[in-house]
Amino acid sequence: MKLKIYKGVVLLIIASSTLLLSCEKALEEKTFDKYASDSFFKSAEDAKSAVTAMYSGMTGAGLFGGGWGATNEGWDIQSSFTTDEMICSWGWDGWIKFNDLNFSEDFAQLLNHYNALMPLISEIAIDMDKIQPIQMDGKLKSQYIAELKALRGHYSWILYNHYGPVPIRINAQEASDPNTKAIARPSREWMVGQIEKDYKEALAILPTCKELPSVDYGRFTKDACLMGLMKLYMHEKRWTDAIAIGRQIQQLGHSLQTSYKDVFTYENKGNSTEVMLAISCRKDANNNNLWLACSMPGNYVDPRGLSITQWGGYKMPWKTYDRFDPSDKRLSVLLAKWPTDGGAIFDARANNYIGAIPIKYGPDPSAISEQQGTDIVVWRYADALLLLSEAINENQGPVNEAYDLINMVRARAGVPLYTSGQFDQAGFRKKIMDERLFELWGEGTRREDMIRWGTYIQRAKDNGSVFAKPEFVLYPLPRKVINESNGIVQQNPGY
Amino acid sequence: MRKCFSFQIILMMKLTLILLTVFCMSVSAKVFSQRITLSEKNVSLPSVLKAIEKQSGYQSFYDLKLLRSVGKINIDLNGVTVEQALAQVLSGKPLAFSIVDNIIVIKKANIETLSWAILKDKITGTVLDDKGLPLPGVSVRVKDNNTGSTTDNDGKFQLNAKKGDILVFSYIGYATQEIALTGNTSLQITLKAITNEMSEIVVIGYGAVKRRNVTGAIASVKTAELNTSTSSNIGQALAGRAAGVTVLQSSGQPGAGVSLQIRSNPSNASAGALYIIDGVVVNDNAGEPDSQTRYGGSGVDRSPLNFINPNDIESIDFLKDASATAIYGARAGGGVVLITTKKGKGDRPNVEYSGSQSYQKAIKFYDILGTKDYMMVRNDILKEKWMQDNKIAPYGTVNPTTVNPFIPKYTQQQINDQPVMPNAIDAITRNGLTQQHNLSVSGAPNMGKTRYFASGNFLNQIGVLKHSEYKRYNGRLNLDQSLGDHVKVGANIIVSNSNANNANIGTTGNEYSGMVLSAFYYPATMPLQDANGNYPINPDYQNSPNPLSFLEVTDFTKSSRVLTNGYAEWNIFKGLSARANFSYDQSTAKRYTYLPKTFLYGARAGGQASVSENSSTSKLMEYILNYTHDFGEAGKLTAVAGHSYQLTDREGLSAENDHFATDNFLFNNLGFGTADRPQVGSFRAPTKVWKSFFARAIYELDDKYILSASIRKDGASNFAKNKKYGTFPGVSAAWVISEESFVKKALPAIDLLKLRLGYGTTGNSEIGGSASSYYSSDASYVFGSSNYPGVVLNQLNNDNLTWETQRDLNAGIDFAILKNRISGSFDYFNRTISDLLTQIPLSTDFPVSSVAFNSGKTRSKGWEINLQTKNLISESGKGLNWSTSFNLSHYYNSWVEREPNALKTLAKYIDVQGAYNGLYRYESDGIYRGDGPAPSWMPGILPGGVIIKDLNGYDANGNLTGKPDGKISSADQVQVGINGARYSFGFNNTFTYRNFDLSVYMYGFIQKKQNTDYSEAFRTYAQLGAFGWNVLSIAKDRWTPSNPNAQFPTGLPDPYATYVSNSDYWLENGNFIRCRDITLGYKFGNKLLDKQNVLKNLRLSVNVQNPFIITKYRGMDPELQNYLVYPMTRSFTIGINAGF
Repeated sequence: MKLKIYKGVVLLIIASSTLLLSCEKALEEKTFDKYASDSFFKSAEDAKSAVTAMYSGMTGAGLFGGGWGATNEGWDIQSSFTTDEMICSWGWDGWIKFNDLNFSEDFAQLLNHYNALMPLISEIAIDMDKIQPIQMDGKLKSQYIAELKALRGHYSWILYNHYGPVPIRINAQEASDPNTKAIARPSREWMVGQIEKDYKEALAILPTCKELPSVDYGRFTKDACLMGLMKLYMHEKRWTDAIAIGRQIQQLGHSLQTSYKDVFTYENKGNSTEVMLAISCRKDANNNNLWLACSMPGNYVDPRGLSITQWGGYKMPWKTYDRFDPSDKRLSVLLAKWPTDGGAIFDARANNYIGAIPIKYGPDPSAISEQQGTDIVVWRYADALLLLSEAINENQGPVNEAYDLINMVRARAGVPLYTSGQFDQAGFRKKIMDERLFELWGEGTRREDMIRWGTYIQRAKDNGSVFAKPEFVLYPLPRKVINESNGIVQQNPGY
Repeated sequence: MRKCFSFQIILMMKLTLILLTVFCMSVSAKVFSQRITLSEKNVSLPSVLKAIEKQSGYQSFYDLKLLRSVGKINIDLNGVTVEQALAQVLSGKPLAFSIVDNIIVIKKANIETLSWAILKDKITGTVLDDKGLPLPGVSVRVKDNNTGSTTDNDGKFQLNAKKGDILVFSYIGYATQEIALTGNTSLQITLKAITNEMSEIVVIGYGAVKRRNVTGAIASVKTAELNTSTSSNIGQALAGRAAGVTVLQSSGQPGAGVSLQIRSNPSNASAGALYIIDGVVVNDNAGEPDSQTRYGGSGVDRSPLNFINPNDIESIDFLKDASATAIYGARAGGGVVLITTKKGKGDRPNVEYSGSQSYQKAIKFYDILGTKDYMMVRNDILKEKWMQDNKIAPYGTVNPTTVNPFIPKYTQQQINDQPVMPNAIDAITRNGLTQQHNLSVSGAPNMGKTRYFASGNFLNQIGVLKHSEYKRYNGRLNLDQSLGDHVKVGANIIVSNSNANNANIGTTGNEYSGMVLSAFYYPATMPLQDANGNYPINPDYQNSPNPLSFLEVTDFTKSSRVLTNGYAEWNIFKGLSARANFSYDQSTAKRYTYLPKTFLYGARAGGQASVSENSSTSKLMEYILNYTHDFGEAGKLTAVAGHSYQLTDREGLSAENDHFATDNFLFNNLGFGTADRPQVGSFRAPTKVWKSFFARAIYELDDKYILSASIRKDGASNFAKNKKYGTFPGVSAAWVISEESFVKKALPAIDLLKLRLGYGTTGNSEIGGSASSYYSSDASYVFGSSNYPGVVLNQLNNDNLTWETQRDLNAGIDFAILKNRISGSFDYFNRTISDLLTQIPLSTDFPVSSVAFNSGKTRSKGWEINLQTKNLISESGKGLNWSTSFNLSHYYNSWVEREPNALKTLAKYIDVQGAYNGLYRYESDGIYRGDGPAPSWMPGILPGGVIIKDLNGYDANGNLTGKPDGKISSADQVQVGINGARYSFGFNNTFTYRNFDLSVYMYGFIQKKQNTDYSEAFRTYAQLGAFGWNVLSIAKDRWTPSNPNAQFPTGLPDPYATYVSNSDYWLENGNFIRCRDITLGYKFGNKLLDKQNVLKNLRLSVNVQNPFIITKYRGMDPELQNYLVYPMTRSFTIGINAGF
C-alpha cells in the first residue's frame, strides 16, 4: 500500500512539474525564411533587392514568357500576331483571335499587361519612398531612384501604348494603402507628361550604355530612356521632339553591327554597339529566352548538333515573307527551307507549311530545355535610325538625311540602296513601313507602327476578319478593374 | 487492358492459401492443446486422467484409492477445455477438482456440498445463440453459490441445483440471462447477442459515452465491416459508409489519398477534417516532396493517413455537428474523425493473422484511335484546316482550284501499307497486385492490469500504371499497465515506413506531360521501341518523351513516420482522475529522382538527379482532469477539463545536379554532376503554436435525460496580436422518450425513440499563412551574368483578422422498432459560417494581389437519414439472414452576406446570396450546323461550332443590363448547377446462411460533372492536326462538312472555343451508383476446427471491388478527377483470417 501511494505521489509531482515548468512559448509568430515587415528596407542591399524586383515586369512579372518574352503573354509577340508579321501552327484559338483582332475583355492575354504592370508601378512609388531614408552611398541611392523612374516610365508607356491613359498610382502614401479610393482614368496629356517626366529625370542621372559596367548589363541606361522617349514622341506624332531625341541618340556612340544575324546570337551577350536595351538571360533563371522553342519546327536538325526544344509554332505567313528581296541577308534567320534528318533539306512551302520559320535568335549551346540564355533584344540602334528617318520624312519630307538613315540599315542587309529623290513623302513612308518590317520583325514594334500609320485595323479586315473594329487599336481593360472602382474607371470604347 | 485474366496469379494465391492452412494444421501436432477430445466406454478414472494429461500437458495429483472407489465410467469428450472435461468427468461423483499452474488436483468433495448435492436435482440443458447454434463455453452458475459449469462443444451443460435456485448464464458478447428453476430439469436457453448498437461505446473526444446517451451528431464505423484488403489507408474504404460523410477518391494510384468531407463546409479556408488517433492530432505531416526536375510532383498523390494500418483500427467515429466538435474548438470546423485503435483483451494471448492477395485491373482507361483510324482522322482534320485557312466552303466562298491544293499527310498507299502498332496507352498499363499480411498478438493478462496489442503489417501494392508501386511496413505497440490500484501508465507507438515507386502521371501538358499524356501524344503509326531498343520520338512534336521511356526514369519516395504517445493516469480518489499525455510525431518523406540519358529530358540535361526531403515534427502535451459522480436517483455527472499545448514545425531541403558522366550513379552521387549551377533550396515554415483550454460536463438522469455542455478556448500563433484567442462553446441534450413509462405502455413496439438537439460553435484558422506582412524573394532578375534576388512585398498584414466561426444547430431522432428489426436516425442541421476566412482580391493596382480577410457569411442546410433493417431472421439461425443498412444525405450551401471589400471585386453575374459552390457557365444551344445564317451575336462561328446563348450585357458603369447585347461576354454566364454532390448515399446488404456470409455494398452521388476528357478530344486540330497527338476515338464522330449530323462539334479551333469550354455543353449528368464491394466469406465450423488444436477460428473470403458502376457519365469515371488521371481499378481478392 505504501508503495502505491509513493508511486502516485511521484507521478503527481512529475505531472504537475511538467505542467508548471513546461516552458510554453508565447503565441508569437517567428519567420525563418522571409523578411518580416520590420526587417526590410534597412540597408543598401535591401534597396538593391527592391530595385531588382521591379525589373520583373520586363519579363511579365511571373507570367511564363510574358513581358518582352516569347509566348502569347508577351507584348512583343502580340505585336507580331495582331499584325502581318506572324501566324501560328498551334491549335489554340487565341492565335487566330490575335490575327483577326477578335478582342474582348474575356481574352485574358490582352489583360495581363495591365494586371502585371499596374501593381509594379504602385510598388515603385512605395520603394522610392522607402529607399529615401536608408543610410547608404548617395550616388548609388540616386542611381537606384533613377532606375525606378526609368522603369516606371517604361511600364507606363507599355500601358499607354496598349490601353490608352490608365490611372497609375504615383503617390507612395496612396499606393501603400489597400483601401485607397479608385482614381479615374487620366487625360492623354497627363499620361504622356508623366512618362516624359520619369524618363527625363532618369536619364539625367543614369549612365550611358558605354559607361555601364558589364556586371550591370541589362539595367536601364540613359540610352534606353532616350529610346523610350523617342517611341513616345513617335506615338504622339511629335516629330520635332522625336527628331531632337534621335539626334541625341546619335551622339551616344552606337553603330550597327556588321552582321544582322549576330545581333541576336548567344555570343553577342553584353558587348554590342547596336543593342540599346536588352534583357540578360540565363537558361536557369526567370529571365530566359523561349523564342527558339516557340518558332523552331519539329523536324529541324541543328547543323551544330545542338538539341533545341522545338515546339514548331511561329511562322511568318508566305504573303509577308514574299515581300522580302530574295537577296536580303536578313532572310538568313527567316527560313523557308532547313536541314532535317540525314542532312536532307526540307522545303516548307512545298509541304503545305503556312509560312517561313522566324528563327531570329541564336541557340544557347548549354541549354537543356526550352529555356535559353540568349539575351532578349528590347531596343537597338537600327530601330532608332529608322524612326529618325521616318520622323524627318514626316516633318520635312524625304530629305537626304532620311535616305541616308534608311540606307544605313539597307546596306547592312545587302539590299539595293535608295537614291535621294527616288520617292515622294508618301512613297518614302511606304518604304519606311516595309523597311521596319524587314528589319524589326518579331521585335515588338509592328503593332505601334501600324497604329501610327493607320493600317492596323485595315490589315485585319483585308484578311477577312469579321471582328476588327476601329476601337481595337486599344486593348480592353480587365472587367475586375471596372467592378472594383464601381465604374469610376471606364472600359475602353468598343468593348 | 486487353490482356486476359491471369490464371497464374489466382493459382499462386490458391497455393499460398493451401500451404498456409496445411502449415497451421501440421504445427498443431507439436504443441499441447487446450482442448480435450476423448471417447471411451467402461474405463477407470485414473486412465481417463492420464489421457487428459497427455492431451493437455497438465499434471495431476490424486489419491488413487479415492478414484478407484468411483468405479468404471463412460466418457465422451469432444474438443472441450480441461475444466469442462474435468467437470464432465467428475459430475455426479463425490469428487472436486482444482487447477493451479497446470496442475490438476483431485480431492474429495466438501461433505457439506455433498450433502446438498444429494438434495439437489441434476439439471441438464443446452445453450443456443440467437441463430439457434449451440454456444460452447458459456458459464452457467448458481446464483449466490459457487457451483458452476460451462457448456460443452454442443452447448450442453449439467449441474446440480434445487428448485428455486437461480441459474446465471453469461458469455462475452451476449446478454447475461437469469433463469429461476421451477422444477424442470431439462432446459433450453437462448442467449441474445448484444447486437443492439445502442449499447456500443462511442468515442466523443476526451471521453466516451454509450451510443444510447449520445447527444450530438456522431456516426460510427466499425472497421470489421470494411474490406481494407486493397486499401493502403482507411480513407479509401470509407466512401458511403456513414451518412453525411462524403468520400471522394480522385485518383486510383497506390497509396493515394481521398478527399473526405464531413457534412458540408462552405468555407474557403477549410483545413478538412481533423484526424485524431487515440487522442493525438495527426494532421501535421511532412507531405510529398516535389522533385527538382521539370516534372515536380508529377501527380503523385499520397495520403497522410497511410502511416496507420487500417487493420489496426477498431472503430472510427465522425463528429459531425458543432455541439460534438466544439471540444476541439478552432480546428474542428471541418468536422472531427476520431480513430480508435485496437487494444488487447482477454486473459489469454490472442494471435490473429490476416492476409490477402488481390488482383487488379483498370476499369476503364482512355480509348484512343488505332493506327489506321489515326491516319485517316489526321488526314481529315488537316484537310478541314486547309479548307478553313483557304476559306473554302463551308468556311468561305473561295474556289478550291484557285489555291495551293491540299496534300494529305498520308497517302492511301501509306495507310494501306502501315502495319498496326501497339497501343501506347496499353503499353503503360498492366494488371495490378496487392498483397497484405497482418499479424497481431494481444491480450490483457493479470486480471487486465496489463493490456497489450502488438501488430505488424506488410502491404505491397503494384499499381495498374507501370512504375507505380507502394510498399509499406508498419508496426504498432499499444501497452497499458496498472501500477497498483490508482496509477496507470501506457504508451502507444506507431512506426511506419514506406517505399513508393512513383509513376509520372503528370499534372500539365505539352513538354511537361507525364506518362499518360505522353501516351496520348505518341503517334499510333510508330513502334514504341525500335529494333535497337531506342525510344523513338514523335517527329512532329519532339518535346514529349516516348511514353515507354518513362519506365527508364527512377523516381521513388521513402517515407517514415513515428507517432509516439505516452500517458500516466492517477485515480486521485473515487471519481476523480488526472491524466497527462505527451505525444511526439515525426515524419519525413524523401524523394529521389533520376532522368537517365535514355530518356528525352535526361538526354538534354546529360542525366539529371534530384533529391528532396520534407520533414515535420509535432509535439503535443495535454493535461486532463476527469470527474464522475453518481448521484443515484439524482443522476450521474461526468466532467472533464484540460489544457493542451502543441508545437508544429515543418521544413525541407532539396538539391539537383545534371550533366553526369554516367547514368550508373543515379542520385547517389550528386556531386558527380557537372551542371553550371546545381540547384539547392530549403525552406522552414513558421513554428505553429497552439495553446488551448477545454472543459465538458455531461449529466445523465435515469438514462432518459442527457445534457452535455463543453467549451474550448484556443490560441494560435498565426493570428494578429489582439486576435489570437477564440472561445468555442457547445451544448446539446437528448431525451430518450421510449424510456418514459407512458410510452412503454402505450407503444410497446417502439424499442427506442430519442430526440437530440445541439448547438455549438467551432473555429477555423487556416488562412494559408498568417496575418503578418512579409517580404520575400519572388522576383529575381539577371544583370550581367548573375541572377540577383528581387524582394517584394509578398503578404499584407490584416490586424483585424479574426477566427472564422461556425455556428451549428443540429436536431436528430434515433429510433428502433419491432424488436430492433428497424432502426435508424434522422438528422437536420443548419450551419452558418461567419467571418469567413478568404484571400480577397485587392485593387488591381495594389502591389499584393490579395489579403487574408473575414469576408462574409455562408449557410449550409441539410439532412441525413440512416436506416438499418433486419429483413430476414432465420428462426433456427442456420437459415438465411438478411440485413440492410442505408444512408442518404443532402445539403445545400449558400451565401448569406458578403463583406463590401469582397463584393467590390465579385463578378456581376454571380448571385450575391446564391449557391456557395454554384457552377457559373455559359448556356449552350446545340451545334451550329452551318445550314443557316450564323447567330448574329456569334458572327465568326464555324460550322460545327457550339452555339452560346447571348443573355446579358454590361452598361457603362459595369452593371448588368439584363438584356442581350449582341455579343458574348462574361455577363452571359448563369448558374447552371452546383459543384459537388447534391445527394450522396450508401447501401449495404449482408446475408448469412449457415457458415457463409455475403455482403454487397454500393454507394453513389447525385451530381453534375464537367467532362474534360471529352472536351479535350474535340481540340482535334490543336492536338492531332498540329502535333500528331492521338485523341480519344470519339473524335471520329465530330462535325465535318461530310458529317453534318455528327454528335460532337467541330475539331477546328473555333473563335468561341474559350466560351464553349466554359459552357454547360460539356457539363454532364454525373450521377452514379457504384457497386463498391461484394464479399463472400466462409467461416469454418467447429466440427472442422475441432480436428486440430491450433486454429481458434478461420475464415476464408473472396471479394470483388468495383464490379460495376451505373452511370450516364461518358468520361473516365464520375468520381475521379478529370483528364490527367490514374485509372480506377477493379480488384479480385482472396483473403484469410485466422485466430490462434
